[in-house]
Amino acid sequence: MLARLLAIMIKEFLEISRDEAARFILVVPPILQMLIFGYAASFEVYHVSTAVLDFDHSQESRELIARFTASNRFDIVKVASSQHEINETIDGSAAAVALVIHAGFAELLRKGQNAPLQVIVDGTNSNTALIALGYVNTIAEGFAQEYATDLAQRVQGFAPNTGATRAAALV
Amino acid sequence: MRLRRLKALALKEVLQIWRDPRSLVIALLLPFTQMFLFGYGINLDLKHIPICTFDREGSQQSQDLFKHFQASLYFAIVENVKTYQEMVTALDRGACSAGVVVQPDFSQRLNDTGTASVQAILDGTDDNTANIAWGYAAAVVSSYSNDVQVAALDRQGRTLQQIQPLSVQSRVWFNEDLVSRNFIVPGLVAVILALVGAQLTSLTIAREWERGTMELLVSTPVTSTEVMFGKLLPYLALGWLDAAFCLVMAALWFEVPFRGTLFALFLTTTLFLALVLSIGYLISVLIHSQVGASQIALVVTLLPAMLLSGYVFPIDQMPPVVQDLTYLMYARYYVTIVKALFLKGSGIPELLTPILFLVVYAIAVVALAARAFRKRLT
Repeated sequence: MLARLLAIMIKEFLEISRDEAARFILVVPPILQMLIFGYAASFEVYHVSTAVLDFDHSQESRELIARFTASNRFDIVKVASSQHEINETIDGSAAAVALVIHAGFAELLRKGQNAPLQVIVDGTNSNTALIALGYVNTIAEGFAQEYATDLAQRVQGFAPNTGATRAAALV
Repeated sequence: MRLRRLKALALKEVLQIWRDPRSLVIALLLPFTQMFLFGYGINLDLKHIPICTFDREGSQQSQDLFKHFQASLYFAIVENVKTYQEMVTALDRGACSAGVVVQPDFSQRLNDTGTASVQAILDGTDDNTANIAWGYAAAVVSSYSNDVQVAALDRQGRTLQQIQPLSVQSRVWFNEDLVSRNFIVPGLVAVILALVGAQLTSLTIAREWERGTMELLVSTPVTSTEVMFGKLLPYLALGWLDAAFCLVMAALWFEVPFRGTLFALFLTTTLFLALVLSIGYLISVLIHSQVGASQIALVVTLLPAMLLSGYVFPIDQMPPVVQDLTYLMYARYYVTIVKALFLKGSGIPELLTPILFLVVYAIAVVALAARAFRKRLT
């Protein structure tokens, strides 16, 4: 039984090795497909095209935007000058995320009040949108935390120990 | 090209389709099963992610934190483990996809220094789930953190306003609730049409060879261009039927909002059908057996249409070389168009670029197919 099995196997191998088309099909398509599709099938989110609209033109707003530029998650592809332009950019899929900073942003921050950062996300691809939103929040939180510490230091001369800077962090 | 001859050829093809139920089965059954299979099968929404908790402290605070996780729609606590070893085993056998650990000095650190850390251990096998779970976990911890701050400030008679400097006000456009089905199903329609369209016409010339009717066709006084268009027309009708079926199902059964115009949808769909049918026809001309042609049509369309069209995996996240390759995958243009028509309500002007690509592609394939088919028997 084993000898017959072996004989058939050898015959089959010989047949494949003589058949040029079979040799090709066995080797080239799997390698090509693994390479192309392996790279294509990815849910990672980097370099999200981002549009920016800064009405405030303050040091604080620029600092916040710089944090987005510095991360490899967002690429600023458009600096808009009106809300209309932002809408067009998102509508035309030129950018997937838009950051809008309204006038008075820095003033609110300096007064220690809550300053809003408006974010518009193209939700067409819900997965990318969700992950991008997570990154927006992380960056905004980092900025807020640093600013709060800075402000507290300037106001009180030392870092506050009120249990209030940030209670729990995820590591 | 004469209209009378075209009509005669189309009629002949209709009769042939009617007598060979194979193509009818492909045309009617395939879209139906695929819509259901993939429409339900692919879901990227994450809810009730199973997590294990490891409370090394067992304090009021740590329990409060876990209550936040419990209350969140995105997590379900499936196990409370007692040792790290138990957590590792739970993650290993897939009982939970994330573990949350609270250290023994959690509440002490919180009270003394004002900051404490929570450990999250994520199963990174599925990096997408891990990534999203991490985001949700961070949100839960941050909301807990907020509560602690408010409580701490309350004791001091201050309000939160003074402390939280920045708030993110996010608005999601086009797919407001971030339902993954809303972006997968329109893309699925494109994939199915690419698949079914090429399958249908891939049989048509090969069938003439296998049935031995090629001699008849060759001796018929018609031009090869007339043969091509005469053969494609009946399939276009079948394609319309499939497209209508898939699109209606997307809108009514899967409840994807449709915001575009029917005219734009009809125009672009017809263009795309013309392209995929010509690709099937081209394959059919080149390969003389029905099985072989159908196989090639499957290999050429199925995986590329699934993976390189941007149907699920975003094209802009692919490496540049692969991005260049996606321009060859004609389904990407229709995927872009259908998604934009459904979710964004775009009109023809906004979609001009992908439409132009489709037109150029279609003309090129039709020209190639017309050249490839010679009325010859060898």
